[in-house]
Amino acid sequence: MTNLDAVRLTAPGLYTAAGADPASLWEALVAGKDTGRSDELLAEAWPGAGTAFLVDDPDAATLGVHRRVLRTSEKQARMALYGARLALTGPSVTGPVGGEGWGLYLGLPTVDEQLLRFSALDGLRRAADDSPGAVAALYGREVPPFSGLSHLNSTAAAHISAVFGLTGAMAAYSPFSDAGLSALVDGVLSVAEGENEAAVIGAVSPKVHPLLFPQYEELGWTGAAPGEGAAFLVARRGPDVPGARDVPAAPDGPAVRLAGYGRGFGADGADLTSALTEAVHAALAMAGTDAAGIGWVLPDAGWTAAGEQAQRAALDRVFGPAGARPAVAGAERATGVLGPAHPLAHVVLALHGLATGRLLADDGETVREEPLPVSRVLVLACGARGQVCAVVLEGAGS
Amino acid sequence: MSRRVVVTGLGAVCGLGLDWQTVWEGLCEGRSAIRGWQPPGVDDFPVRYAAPVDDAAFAARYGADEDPGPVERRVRFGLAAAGQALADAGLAAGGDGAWTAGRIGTAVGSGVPERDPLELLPALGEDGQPSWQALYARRDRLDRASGLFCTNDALAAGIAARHRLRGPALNFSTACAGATHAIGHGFRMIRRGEVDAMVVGGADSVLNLPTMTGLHLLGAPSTSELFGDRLCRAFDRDRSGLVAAEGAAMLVLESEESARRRGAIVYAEVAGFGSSLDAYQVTAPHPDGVGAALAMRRALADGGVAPEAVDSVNAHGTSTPLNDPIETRAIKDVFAGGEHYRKLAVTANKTMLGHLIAAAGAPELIATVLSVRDGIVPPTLNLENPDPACDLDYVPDKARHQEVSVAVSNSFGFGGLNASLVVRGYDD
Repeated sequence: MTNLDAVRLTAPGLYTAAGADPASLWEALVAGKDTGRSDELLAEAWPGAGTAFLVDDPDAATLGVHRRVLRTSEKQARMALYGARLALTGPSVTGPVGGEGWGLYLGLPTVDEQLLRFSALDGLRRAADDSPGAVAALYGREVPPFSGLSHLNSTAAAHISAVFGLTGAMAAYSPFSDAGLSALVDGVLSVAEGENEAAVIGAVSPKVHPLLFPQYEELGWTGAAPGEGAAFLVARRGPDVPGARDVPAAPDGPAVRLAGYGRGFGADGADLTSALTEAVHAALAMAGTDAAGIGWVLPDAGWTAAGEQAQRAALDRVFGPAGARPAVAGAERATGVLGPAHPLAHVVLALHGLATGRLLADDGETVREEPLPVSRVLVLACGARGQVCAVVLEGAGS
Repeated sequence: MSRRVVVTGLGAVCGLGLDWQTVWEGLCEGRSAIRGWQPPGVDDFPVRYAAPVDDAAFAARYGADEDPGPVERRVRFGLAAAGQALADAGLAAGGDGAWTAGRIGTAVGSGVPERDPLELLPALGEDGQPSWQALYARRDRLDRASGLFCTNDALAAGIAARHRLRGPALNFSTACAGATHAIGHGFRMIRRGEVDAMVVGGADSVLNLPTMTGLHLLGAPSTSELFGDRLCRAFDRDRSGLVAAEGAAMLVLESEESARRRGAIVYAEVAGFGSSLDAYQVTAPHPDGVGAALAMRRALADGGVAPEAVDSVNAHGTSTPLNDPIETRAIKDVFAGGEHYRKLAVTANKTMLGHLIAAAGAPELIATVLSVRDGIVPPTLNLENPDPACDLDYVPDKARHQEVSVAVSNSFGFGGLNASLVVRGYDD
């Protein structure tokens, strides 16, 4: 029996260029803080890609793991592990973590990294001129031993599970923003349907690397600045299932729940707009509300022109004229585009807003803070090839 | 809402055949798709056996289909299998684009992108020096069907776009359990009423130099030449590693009410799904099989099926030194009551199909479904000297005709990402 009412979202863990907690991101957005970095390598690699919202690669001490863990992981897995650590060691998590009741749901990017270092390319050219056998021999010599692991994006799940002792039900999705919200939806459902007592839900961005940009360009990338980071939270069953709306506030703020969701697919243009509109209507209907019941909209990053256009058109259809619609603002100014982690970072930001009764509004020039008029927030995801997802988050007392 | 979920369509493309009927026939006859293999043009690659798809036969059969554009091998295989499954289910869109089965989505597991071994050569500029600027300037020379342009959602989005499916289009990244996770979540979405039907399964192709090099460096594939095409020896003491394969398999899952309304042929019922994590090591499964046992237990509980009701287990059975005794231990643990494990017919399809990596669970679920429908358990080939630590009934050599009311299918992914499905005969 699915009972979304019974599940609470808590324990936000957020690692972005703006800092290592939701409040830092909130403050950076309101203050208009420049959190991007000029990156010479990117600027040389791809015109227009000179600024990125990078994060430091967490070291073993930061991650609380033995150094050997670093050998079998790459930056994406390490960012994910750090995001999970921020969530699971924060003040919201009381009592033991891990065991059979704790599951894991992740949104993961495709891993894109060099198999061969630049220093091996001259040898590769000679080998290619020689024979396929020579190319194979060069790969055997030059490919790092754990490249097979690091190309497996699900390695992040294995690391998080091992470090925190999670043996509950799990799933991992990839590679774009819808993957992050699918992790949220199915993680919450796993708790609502009794499969897990708690679900660690997270998503991580790709690590920014020059090899990403040919792929981005092929998929219709607008040139939006990429970012790095991870967003995590925990879904837990409320103590009193039938009366979950009356569950007392968590120590760090009021309880928040996933009130509704919708997901679908639209190949392009009008089809994509329709799919996103249907997903929003489905989420609103499941939440038992309508457009007037939404206080703040966090749209997906403007990563492709088609996605941007579809989101604008869908919001027009759902909310009507611009003057009548709720505030619209996301985190992109301070985080860059975070791929699968983008909408989940928005969920964490929304948790912060619902806890403080505030929202962010973006007038195109600046981001300002305002009172949240209604305790419900809409978060959107618009994947690169037409996958869409919408979720409604609600203060549990609303 | 909680609905029964049935299987109404099947599709498969792999080394054993280009349609599900041929694949099932091959499994029942104990035919193996494993043969001598090397990357194109190479004659001394350390991994010497695999189960590739017959390119010429595939092109002859599917080449006339609408050109999917520049896509990877795994996507071509997956699109072909999905088309087969939808046709097999007798599903068609009406003139208004609405499907006879209602709202349909897709969920697949599709592994890692296919890499071109020479993808970085354009980074060598005119001066012979490597740079990203040079790669940018020559990006039009890069192969759009491999390497840098591949993303994991290409198959799910490709299936949805080609067949105009408007339900969710999901890709699962759980290593060798990807397809089983996709099928399990598709099953759950129908059961709870989110969609009416799902095209679910997996596709993968690791038979390229970069990916096989990575797998070889991890020590996963066998490099033995002792047994020729009998190299995949699940549960045998002489097993020495997995034998990689490529291909795809897809199933149409549908709510019982939709299938009945359409008068669809029902192959079997998907009754339960369970997953787990090992929480152990990235490079090895938990030695006690704790995660594997948890996944099976959860799948049985999810379907309300008692362990004693299970007749057969389609094992992950990779022929690796670690998996097979650990999976055996897990099966004995789950089916310990009344020593029911002694009554189970356990089969390892990978001894014939090879290991389709992220897709592996999909053809194995098709075999499980047909096992229940037809009352046949395919054999485990090459089990000549059983490992003393592997002491179950693995149906050696020849298929067995027996009633299979309920069967479990296992997939255990690298890093301890586990998933199991329960299938039972459909009785309306």
